[in-house]
Amino acid sequence: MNSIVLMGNPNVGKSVVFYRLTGVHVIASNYPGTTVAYTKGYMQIPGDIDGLEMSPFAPGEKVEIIDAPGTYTLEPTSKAEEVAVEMLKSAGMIINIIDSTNLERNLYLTMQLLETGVPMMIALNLWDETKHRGVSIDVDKLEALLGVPVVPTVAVTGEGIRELLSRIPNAAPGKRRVRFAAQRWAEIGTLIREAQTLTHHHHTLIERLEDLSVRPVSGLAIAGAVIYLYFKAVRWIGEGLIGYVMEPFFENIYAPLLDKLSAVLHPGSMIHGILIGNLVDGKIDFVESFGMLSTGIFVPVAMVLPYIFAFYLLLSFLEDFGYLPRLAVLLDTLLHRIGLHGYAIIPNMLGLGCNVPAIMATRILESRRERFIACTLISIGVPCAALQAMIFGLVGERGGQYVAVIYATMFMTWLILGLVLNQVMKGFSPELILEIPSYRVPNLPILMKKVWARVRGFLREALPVILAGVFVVNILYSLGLFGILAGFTAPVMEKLLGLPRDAIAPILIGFLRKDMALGMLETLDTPLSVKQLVVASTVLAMFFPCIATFTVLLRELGVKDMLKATLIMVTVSLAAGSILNLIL
Amino acid sequence: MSKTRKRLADMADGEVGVIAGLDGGRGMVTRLHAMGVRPGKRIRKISRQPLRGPVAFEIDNFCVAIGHGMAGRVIVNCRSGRRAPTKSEI
Repeated sequence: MNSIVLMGNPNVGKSVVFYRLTGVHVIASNYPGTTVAYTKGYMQIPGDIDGLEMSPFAPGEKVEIIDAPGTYTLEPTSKAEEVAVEMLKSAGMIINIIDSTNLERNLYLTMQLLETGVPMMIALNLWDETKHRGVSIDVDKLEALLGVPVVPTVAVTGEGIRELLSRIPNAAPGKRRVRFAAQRWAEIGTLIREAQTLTHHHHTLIERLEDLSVRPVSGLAIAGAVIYLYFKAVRWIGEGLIGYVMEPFFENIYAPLLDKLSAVLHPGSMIHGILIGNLVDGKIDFVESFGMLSTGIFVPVAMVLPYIFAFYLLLSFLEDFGYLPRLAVLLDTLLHRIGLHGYAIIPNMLGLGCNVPAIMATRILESRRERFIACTLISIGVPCAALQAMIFGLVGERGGQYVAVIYATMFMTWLILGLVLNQVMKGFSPELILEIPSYRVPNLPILMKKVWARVRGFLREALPVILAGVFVVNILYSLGLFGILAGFTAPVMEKLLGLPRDAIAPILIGFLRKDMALGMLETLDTPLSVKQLVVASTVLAMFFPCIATFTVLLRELGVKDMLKATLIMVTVSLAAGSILNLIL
Repeated sequence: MSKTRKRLADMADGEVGVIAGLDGGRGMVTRLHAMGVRPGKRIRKISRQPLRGPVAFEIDNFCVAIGHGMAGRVIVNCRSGRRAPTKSEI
């Protein structure tokens, strides 16, 4: 099949153009390196384009569109950039997306693409920003000089996309032989002189804010305020949705329905046990009953979903605004101590939502060593939003200070383990080299689409696993398998961690999903003391990655490093749990 | 007005100059060049983080942050005999 590959520097809006062409939503953000793997989508060539017979495409033909990770050159420096260069090999046509406000820099990749001989077009994206940046580009002249179609676009609003499509028949190979870098820059110099005029523009308020947020003192003050407000807002929105929407719905509408079903199924029967669970004081308890339709629905929908929504709303806003790279600059020195550089803050932040995309995002890091450290630290010390929601919900009920103990333990573990890994692993962490994007006020529809894509991703992946998990757990309990297992692991559970022996069941079930496993802690025969709940939650959070994370870890690290990482996780979580057991 | 050569790392916050050269290995030079950080470009230093942290600077219409080590190998021609501009002048 004919394919069109979208190529361009990082953070020029390739993913938004991709969305405009295919209707397939992919996560796009205002920082370089959001796309670390390619995404494929399909687009039908419109039938009303003149001159299509001259092009490799037929009217109405379905063509593959590939959104490649951003790269500055065709000589890749990271795994994500390697992917981009790889994509080029299968390209029937290239659409080179350019940041119009940074024409000169972007044209370097353009020169290299023109040397590949693949037919190509250019989208001058972010066209709306040229005006206030004092940039004026003579599009016709640029097109004449480059010899391929050049179309101004504003992908977030969709402006220019139709025009871009209508130029498909004009796409042409770039008639340039492979040259040295200096020769490319020489041609770029000519192009810029001929086709671009820069006028002085006054620094706007937002640009002053950009500077302030990377200066040491004001930067840290802003970072502190952003992080504080961020967590405040996540809790406020999350708790608000739970208290005013989810709980009333489940108590007033869902519970009566479930009560009727419970009466029909006869409490005590096997099917009742699986679907509704155990009655607590003769009533259904949405957390403790542990049936598929009670706990299996309540935990993901009422307890976790509101936090997932709140978290991704705030994270997506920060991403699209362009704040995260600034945090990377401020934290670079700290992160170097643990064998990473500042940009590793991006995967770590993503991990607070879900560890799966976080592990993928470690592809923006240059060396294998960094990727190993980042993956291990994220799996062990960065709790996902679902897990955090349950910690807030269950542990928070007993007092905020206990939640603080869990967070502090995880953060200390993350830090100490990083310091140790940095010392014992061969190699060093490369220096930071990062383009810092301008702040941009997020486009609301695009922002909400992104939040929805992430929330939907959670529902699609979490709900079936939790329902199946509740089913499996009930079967395992009724077969008495957990009892046998508890006998074997009793010394570790009781002596080392000070937990009842049957706490092994939730800790192992954490492999399926940690939010559900944390809910199981409430269903143990002997109710846990606060101290035990803190120890168990901490161990559960750090012990082993959930199956989804495990799968990407395996793919990204390979078997050997994956085993190494896992061994570290098991050892460190048991050590942290034992220490908590001793000092609390 | 004479010019002084300075390393980017040694420039004052807000100081402006023109890149004279990149005194680094091939890897560093290729990467910086591709990002548009090249000799002849006007550069404005924005900030430096403490403890040999990264240096942020503006070039053309965009900002870049690079590690302290690299910033020590970017040589900049600054106008001498002139104080660094104050914040209100930036």
